[in-house]
Amino acid sequence: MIEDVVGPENVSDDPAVIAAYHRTEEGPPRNYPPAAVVMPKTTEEVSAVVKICNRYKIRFSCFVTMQTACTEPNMLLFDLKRMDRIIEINEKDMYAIVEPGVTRAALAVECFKRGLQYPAASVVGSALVGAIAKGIEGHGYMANRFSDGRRHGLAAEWVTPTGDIVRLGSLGLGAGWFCPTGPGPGLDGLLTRSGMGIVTKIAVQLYPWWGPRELEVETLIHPKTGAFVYKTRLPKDKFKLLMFQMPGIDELGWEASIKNLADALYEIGKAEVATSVFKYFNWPMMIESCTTVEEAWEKIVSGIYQKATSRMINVFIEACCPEDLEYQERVIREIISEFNGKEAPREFYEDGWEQGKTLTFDQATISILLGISSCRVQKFGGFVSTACGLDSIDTMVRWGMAIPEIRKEYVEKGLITDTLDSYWIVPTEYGHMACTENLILGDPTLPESRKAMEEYAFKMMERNLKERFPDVMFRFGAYGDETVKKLGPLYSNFHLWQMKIKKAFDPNSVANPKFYVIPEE
Amino acid sequence: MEREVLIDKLAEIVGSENVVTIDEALEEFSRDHSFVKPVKPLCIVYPKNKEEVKRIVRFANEHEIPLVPVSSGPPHLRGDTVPREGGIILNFSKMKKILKIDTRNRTVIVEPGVTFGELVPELEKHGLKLNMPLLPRASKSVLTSYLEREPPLMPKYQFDYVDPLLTMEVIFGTGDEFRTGTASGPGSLEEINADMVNPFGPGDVKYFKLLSGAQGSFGIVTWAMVKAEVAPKARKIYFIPFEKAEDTIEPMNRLLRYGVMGSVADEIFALNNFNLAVILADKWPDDFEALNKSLAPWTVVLCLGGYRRAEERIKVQEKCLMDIAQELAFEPTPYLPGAPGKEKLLIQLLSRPWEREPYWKLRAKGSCAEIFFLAPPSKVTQFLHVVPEVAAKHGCDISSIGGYIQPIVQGHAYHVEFDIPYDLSDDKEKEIAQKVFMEASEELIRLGAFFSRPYGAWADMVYSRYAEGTSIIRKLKDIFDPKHVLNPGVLSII
Repeated sequence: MIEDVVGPENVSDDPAVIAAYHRTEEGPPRNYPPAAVVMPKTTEEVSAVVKICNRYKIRFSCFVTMQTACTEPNMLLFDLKRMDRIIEINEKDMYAIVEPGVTRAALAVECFKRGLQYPAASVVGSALVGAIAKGIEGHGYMANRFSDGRRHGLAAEWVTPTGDIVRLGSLGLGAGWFCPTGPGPGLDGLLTRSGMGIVTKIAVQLYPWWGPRELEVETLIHPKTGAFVYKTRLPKDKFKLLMFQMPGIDELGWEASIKNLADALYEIGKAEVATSVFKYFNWPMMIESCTTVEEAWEKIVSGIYQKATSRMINVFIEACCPEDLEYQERVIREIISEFNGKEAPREFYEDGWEQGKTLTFDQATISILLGISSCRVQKFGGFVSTACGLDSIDTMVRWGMAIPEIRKEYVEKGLITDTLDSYWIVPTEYGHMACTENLILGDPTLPESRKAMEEYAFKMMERNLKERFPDVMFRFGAYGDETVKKLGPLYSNFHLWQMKIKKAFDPNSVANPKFYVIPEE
Repeated sequence: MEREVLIDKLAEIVGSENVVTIDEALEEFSRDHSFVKPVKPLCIVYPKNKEEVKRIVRFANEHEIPLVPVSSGPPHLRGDTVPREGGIILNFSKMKKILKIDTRNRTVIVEPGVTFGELVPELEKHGLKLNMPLLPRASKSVLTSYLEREPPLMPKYQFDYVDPLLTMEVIFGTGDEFRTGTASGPGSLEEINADMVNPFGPGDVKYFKLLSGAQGSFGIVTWAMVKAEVAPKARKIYFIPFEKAEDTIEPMNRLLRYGVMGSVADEIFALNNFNLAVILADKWPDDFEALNKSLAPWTVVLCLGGYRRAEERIKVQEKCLMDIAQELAFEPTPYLPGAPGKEKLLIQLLSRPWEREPYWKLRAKGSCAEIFFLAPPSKVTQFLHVVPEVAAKHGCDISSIGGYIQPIVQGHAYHVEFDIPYDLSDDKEKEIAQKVFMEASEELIRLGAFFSRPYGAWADMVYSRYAEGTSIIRKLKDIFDPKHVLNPGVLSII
C-alpha cells in the first residue's frame, strides 16, 4: 500500500538500507533499526502514509539529517530528504517557505543573494525544518541579535499523527505564511518532534544581510598539513570578529573569573550591540583552527590552547554601515575594558591558520554564518554534552560551578582530556536569556574513557536535580519512561499533560510514541 | 444550585466582602463597548491569591458554573469580558502584587491585577521600561495585555508574536496548577535554581503559546513574567508626514531593516491626524479640532535612543535615517508637522500609559468600535482602503475615523487598526458603527487580512472559516477545561 502512494523505488526494507539508518545521536536505550524506510515527496504522500500507519497501527518516526531515529523495533521511518524545495523566499516580508529536507547552507546561499539571512544554529545537522519543528535546533551563535530557531518558525503545514493536513497560523485563514500564532490560541505551541506528526512545510523568519550577495570562498592548502582550508572575505567596514581574553581561571579562580565574564555579557546585552556574543567552549574553538585530528590532539596535549583560551568572549559584529560598525566596536571595547578584559593576540584571528595558531577570522566567520562548526567537532572524535537548557546568564554561571569538581577525578585518571573551560555561555535576545553546554572530550575507542564520559554526564544530570537546576527540554527518547515518571511530578506534572495531549492527537499511538511519552493505556 | 447558596459557598472561599451581587455592579459587567449581546453575571468574585482561584475553579467544575476572568479595569472594548453564558465574574483587581523586579535580567513578575498605571512608575525607579502597546489605559492589566498579544511599540525587541511574555503560573480549567518554561520545576518555586526566564516547555509543548490569545478559556494565569528593557539615557523623536496611509509602509519597512542592530528606531508607528489629535489635544474639543486640521493626514513617529554612548548611537541612527530618507524622498523632522511644540509631550506620553479620563479612544464620542488585524509588509496596503470605503457607504464621516499602523516582530508584520468613534446613547449612530464594523471586518477577512485575535463578533467570522484549527482548539479545551467552565462561548466554538 505504501508503495502505491510513493512508488516502489521510494520504500525499502533492504537490510543494507536499513543498516544505514540505524544511527542516532540519541543513543541507547532507544535506538533501533527501522523495519522499512519511506521517502515521500509531497505533503499528500506523507498524509496518505500516516493514514495507512493509523489503519494498521504501524508506529513511525521521522528522520531529518542526523536527528531522531527509531525508538522501538518494527517502526516505519520517514526520510524526508526528497522534500527539499525552497518553495519561496519572500524578500519583502522577510521569510522563506521551506520543505523539511532543505539545509541551512542551501537556504543561506539563496538568502544572501537577496540581501537576507537565516540565522544559523551552531550545531545539529543541517536540515532546518525538522530541527525547528522538533524544537531541537540547537542554539545559534547569533542568538544575541536574532534569538534562535524556537522563535523563527512562522506558519506551517502539518500532517497530524492521524494524517490530517492542518495549516497553522495565518495560513489557516488563507492570509499567507507570515504569522505562526492564532487565530486565538497559539497552536504552533504543539509543533514539536515527530511525536506530534510531521511538519511538511514551514515559513521561517529572515533578517537583513548587509554582506555580499555571493560569498566568495577561497580554497587554500594548509602549509603544515596540506589539507584544504576554506576562506571567505567579508567587507571589513561592515563585519568584524573580535576575541577578548577576560581575566582567566589562573588569575581569578573559577568562580570569580566566570562571574566577571558574566557581568560583561550582561552589560553587552543591555547595550544592544553585537550580532553574536558568546563565551565559547575552548576546545571546539581550537579545533576550528585544525585541519587534522592529529594536529588537534597535538595542541590539546601541549596545554597551550587551554591557557590561551580560558575565559574568552567572542564577538561578531554585523553593521549596516561603517559608522554602525565603529559605534558597536567602541561600545564593546569599552565594556570589555571595564571588566578588565583585553583583546586576544592578533595571530588568534588574522591569518592565524598559516602559523597553525588558534582560530582564523575566516573559519570562525564561516562557522558563525553557516553553522557548520559541528562538522569539525564531530569528526574530531567522541564527546558527551551536558547542559542546563536555556535560562538566564546567571543561571548558566551557577550551573557551571560544579564542572571543576565533578571532572577532577576523571581528568586525574586520564580518562577525559583536561579541557577545563570547555563550557560555553551564549546570551540570547540581548542577554535576556542564555544557554550553556559543557562538552567532555574523551577517547570513544577506549571503553574506560567512554564509561567515564557517560558517568560524568550522569553526575551532572544528578547534580542538576539535586540542586534544582531546570532542564525543561527533556529528551524522552534518551531518558526512558521511568526517569520521566520520576521527573514529571517535579516539573508541574507536565508528563501527564503531555500524555493527555498525545492521546487526544494520536489516538492510535503511532507517531513515535516512545519519543514523546507513551500514552497510558 | 440556588443563587443564594452559590454566593454563600463562594463567600466561604474568598470572604463575603469579596463577593459582590449589587445589581449596578452586575449590570456594569454585563456589557461593554463592543457589540456583544449583554448578559448579566450571577455575581462578581474577587480572589486574593492562587489558592482561592484554585478553589473557585474546582467549585465551578463541581457545579458547572461558567467563570469569566477579568483583570483590567473599565472601559472594556472587545466583548471578551462579557459573560456569554452568565456565571461568575472572576475579578482580579485584588491580585495586584508586583512579585519581582529583576533589574539584572530585565524582567518583572506580576499578578493579573497589576496595571500599566501601577507597574510603569515602579519600573522607572529601577531604570527599566516595558515594551508597551500604544497608550494602554492606566487600568489595563499588564498580564492580560501581553497574554493577548497586544502589539508593542518597539518591534526591535519582539522576536516572535508572543514576546515579551515569558513564564507563567496557571490554574487550568480542571483546577490543576501548572507553571510554564523554567518556572515549571524542578520542585517548588522557592526551590528552582534559575531565574525562570525561559518560556519554552516544559517538555515538548510550548504552553505559553497555547495560552496566549485563548482569552482565559484554557486556564487562568495567576502570575506572569514579562521582559522589561533598559531605559534609554538619551532619546530623540522624529516625525515623517505623509498624505496617505499607503505611503507610510515602505519607509517603516526600511527603517526596520537598517540601523544599529537592524533598526533605526526604538518606538515606531504611524497615526492618522484624527488619532494623533485625539492623543495630543489638551482642551477638548478646541485643541482637538485645531490639531485635527493642522496635522498631516498620516505621521510616522519614531523615537531614537540609546543606553551606552547614547548620543553617539543616536547620531548613527540619524545618519541611517537620513540615508533612507534621501533614497525614498521623504522628509524626517524633529518637529511635529502641523503641531510644533508638541514633541516633548508625545515623548512623555509614549513612556507612560494613558492616565487621563476618558480613555483616549473614547474622547471623541464616548464609545469606539475597534477593527484591527495583522498583515505582512507586502500586503498591508491592500487592506487600508476597506474601512474608509465601508464607512463612507454607510454615511459615516471618514475624517472622524482613527487610524493606527504598528510594525511588529522586527518588521515582519503590521498591526493595522481603525477606531470608529460613536455615541452609545445615539441608537442610529451606534447602528451605523455596528454595520461598518461587521461589514468591514467581513470584507477584510475575505480579502485575507489576518484576525489573529478574534474577539466578540469576529470569533464566528474567523472560526467558521478555520475548521482545521477549530477541531484542534476543541481538543485542547477538552484537555485543559473538560467541563467548559472557563469563559465558555468566548471563542464561539468552545
